[in-house]
Amino acid sequence: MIISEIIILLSALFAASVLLIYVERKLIAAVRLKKIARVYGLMQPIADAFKLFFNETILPRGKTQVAFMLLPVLFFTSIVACWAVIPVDEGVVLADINAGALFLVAMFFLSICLIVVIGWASDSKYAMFGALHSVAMMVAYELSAMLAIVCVLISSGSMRLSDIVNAQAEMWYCLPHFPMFVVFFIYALVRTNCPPFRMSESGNISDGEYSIEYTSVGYIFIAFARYVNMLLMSAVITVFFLGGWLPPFEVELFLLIPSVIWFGLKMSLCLLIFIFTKTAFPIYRYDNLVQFGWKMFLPFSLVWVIAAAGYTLVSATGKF
Amino acid sequence: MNEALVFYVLATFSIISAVMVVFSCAVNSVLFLIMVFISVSGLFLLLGAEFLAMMLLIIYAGAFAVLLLMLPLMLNIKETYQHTAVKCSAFGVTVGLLLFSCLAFVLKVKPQRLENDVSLAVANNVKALGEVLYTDYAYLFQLCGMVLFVAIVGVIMLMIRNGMEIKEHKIAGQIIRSADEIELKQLTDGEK
Amino acid sequence: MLSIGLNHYLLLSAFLFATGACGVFINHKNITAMLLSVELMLVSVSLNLVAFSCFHNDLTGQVFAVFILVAAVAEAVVGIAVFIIYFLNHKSIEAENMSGLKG
Repeated sequence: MIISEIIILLSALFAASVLLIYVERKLIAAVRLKKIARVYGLMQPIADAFKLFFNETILPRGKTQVAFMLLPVLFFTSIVACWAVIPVDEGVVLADINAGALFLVAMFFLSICLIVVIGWASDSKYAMFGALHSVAMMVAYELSAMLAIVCVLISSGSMRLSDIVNAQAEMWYCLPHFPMFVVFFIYALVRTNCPPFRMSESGNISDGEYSIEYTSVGYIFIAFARYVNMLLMSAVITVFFLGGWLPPFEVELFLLIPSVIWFGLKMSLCLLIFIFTKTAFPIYRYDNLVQFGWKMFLPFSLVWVIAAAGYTLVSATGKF
Repeated sequence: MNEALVFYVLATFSIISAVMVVFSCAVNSVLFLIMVFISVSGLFLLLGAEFLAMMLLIIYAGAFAVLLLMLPLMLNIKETYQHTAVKCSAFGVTVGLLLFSCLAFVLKVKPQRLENDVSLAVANNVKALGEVLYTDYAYLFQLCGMVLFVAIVGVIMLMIRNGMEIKEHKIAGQIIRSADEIELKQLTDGEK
Repeated sequence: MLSIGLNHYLLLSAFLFATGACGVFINHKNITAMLLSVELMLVSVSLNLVAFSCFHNDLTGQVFAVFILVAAVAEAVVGIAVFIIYFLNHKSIEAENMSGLKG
């Protein structure tokens, strides 16, 4: 039954993101030599959730109230919907549609659009400016990331995600398309609001953030969507560049390990790198960041797409 | 049966939001337009046109809607005129009804009796579309690229305005100090 | 609740088209709303094309829908740029005042 599968997916995502929140806090504390609360810091996330639930809900006074209440849920949905097409193992996927990669791109764009709408619905200057900043930043990197996906599609010759994974049996695409891998990884950092690109650890109390007006349950949805987004981006990187559920080498010992575990390992590797960049790197200035996206990444990835297409054409037909 | 249900739900959704596009103001109408796009892309999926459905979402609901949202948000337009003249709306509704009845009349006179028995969903819609697009319509496709290119150049040319100040950091100017700007002072104990 | 034929899609797209046409008249003072109505009409036309293409099992309709998408977006983007320029120069984009040819 599809409903039970959806419920399983949602609860797995919930568990994974709670775990992710905990691990992230522990790692950041370790790197910054902070003291951790009692019981290994286990009570901290629970206390945070408790605090958020019993926050007072504040709504804007204007005519945007309905949109304001609906939007966090929509934002959350637009991110969770991506998980429907991601194959965790051979055949373990909610909907293995033909245009899976296109669906992912569509949902990425939709969530960006929703951020602008959140900024509008918050009915406050700060939320609006935060939304505009986020969107300008994401769009600057979005195009080159989409070109990175195009490179992968050219090499694999299919838009179905499980076909893309199977096409990487010989070589993961992070090796031949290494620069595109880097581009996509940086895009993932931008999307997950990791601090080289955004100051977001303080969440709803920092200004310059589109979620500034949200309190209580609305904020829980947005914050949760961010963690699910982190998981999602690492899964997308795993599928597109790190060979999905395939083991790195065709060795007996590696083949013994179930392939879901390989998927999980690759995902957690990506997540660890996300978290470490969060702790270790300083924040760039906003205009440098946008210029870097438009002036460096975009031309470079365009050239790379042409090169990849040319190489595929030559190797397929055998002539220039 | 299932398909019919999905169709009716999507159709009602799109009809309601289309009407709201016309009769609501500024940002709201853009949001309703996005809803129309989403439901029409659902209908495309129902018809088996996967590629177009996704493209509609990406181009319209994603990229284009952001632009459209910027328009009322950034330009700070005063919404003083909201469907001022009743005469005009009456005229508009009449035109719409006439147009719709004409189109419906054509359908009534010459109904399209094609049932959904042909295998609509080609095994791989994207691939099939690509094969048509890059062979039979290759020149037209290139022309599309030219259209977009001209649009890009045109928009950039429009946006370059003479005498417009661009605010940017001049880091060198902020950091550099010439020798005469700096003054050495000997501080006495009281001033320290 | 019968099976869905071509007629259903055509009727729906006719309705969307009529709504768009109606919107152009109703919002004849508000140029952004006119742009939105035109987009509505274009979408309804592409729905029409896709419906025909699917029921005739011929991909040409979908190819033309792709072209419509391209044309619509190019037109709308240039339109938005012109509106913004006009707004910067004249501090309003009411369609009534747009009588001079020179922006």
